[in-house]
Amino acid sequence: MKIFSHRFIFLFKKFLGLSIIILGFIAMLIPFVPGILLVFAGLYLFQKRDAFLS
Amino acid sequence: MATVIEITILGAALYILIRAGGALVRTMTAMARFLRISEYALSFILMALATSLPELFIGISSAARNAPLLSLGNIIGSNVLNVTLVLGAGVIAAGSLTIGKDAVRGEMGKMFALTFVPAILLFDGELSRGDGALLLLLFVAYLVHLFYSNRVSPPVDGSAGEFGIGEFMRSFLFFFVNIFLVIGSSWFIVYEAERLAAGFGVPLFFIGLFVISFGTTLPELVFNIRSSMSGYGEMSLGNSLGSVIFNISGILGIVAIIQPVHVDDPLRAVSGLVITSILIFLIQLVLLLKGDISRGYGIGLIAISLLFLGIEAFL
Repeated sequence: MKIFSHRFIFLFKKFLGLSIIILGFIAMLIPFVPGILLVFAGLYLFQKRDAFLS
Repeated sequence: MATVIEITILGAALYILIRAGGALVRTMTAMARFLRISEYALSFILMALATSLPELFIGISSAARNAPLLSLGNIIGSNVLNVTLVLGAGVIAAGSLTIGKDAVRGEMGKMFALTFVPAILLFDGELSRGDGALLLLLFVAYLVHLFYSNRVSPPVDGSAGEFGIGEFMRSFLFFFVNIFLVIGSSWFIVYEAERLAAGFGVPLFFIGLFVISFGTTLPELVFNIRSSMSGYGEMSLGNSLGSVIFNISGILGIVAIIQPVHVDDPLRAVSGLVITSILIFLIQLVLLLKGDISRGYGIGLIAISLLFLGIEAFL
């Protein structure tokens, strides 16, 4: 049984990715070097091609 | 009236810079075909060397004037800008940057180690002559390895045959003429922008931070945008990564040999070097996992560069 729709998962990934990017930039402002890792992790999640799009 | 003349000179210098940047891409492809090495390796070696000349001159003159710290600051700043602003602009101009996964897989570990060595050597607050010699040795060894591991087979149709020694020498000469034009016009742009900004009452500190640091990375920036737009994204990556490696091991090595570098606040310098290492590693990791860097990453890289400039300006 499918609990979440493709659209929900797709939007959730985008939201999570964007949140991690913002968190990464805030961490870099501290300045906290590993903030860059968060920015890239967020970008990877945000940019990930989803089956929903194809 | 003076402002009109200055704006005209600025426009003319910008036009020369863009045209010479495009010509550089063409001469590089011709030379790569003759030497039978990949465009990535050639731009890594030759273009990075040529566009890092301003940093080299700053490095040698600051070491000779007993102020090697100036060169270290310049290297750290231009390295971060090279892998964020310069690479990001190329990615945005091209839409996406694609490079073979095998090429990245082979170089990833070596490049990370090479960018991390200066941070380890600087951890004790000093970069001695011995450290400088080690950096220079590693740099030369890496260039030799890159040259021989990136040899490409001539095309089966024999089209490489049309690139004789005469064609190569012509391209080589054009390369130097265009490099001269790119660096010269960049200098004019910085000079005129500085005068204009001062005329409009912009504080000197901001001129130094934004106009000068932007100006010294302008040749790399224009080359990356032109090569990416011409469909040679790997040249853009080779130029950015090559500039960083040349700065971090070649120039830093030469500076330390001339005059050992003593840092009062090693943590700040080391963190600047570590940021570059992490950025290069992450960019290569994305290329390895996805096979390309898309426009979103380009925007992210430019945002990181703006944040870096903001932190340096206000913190």
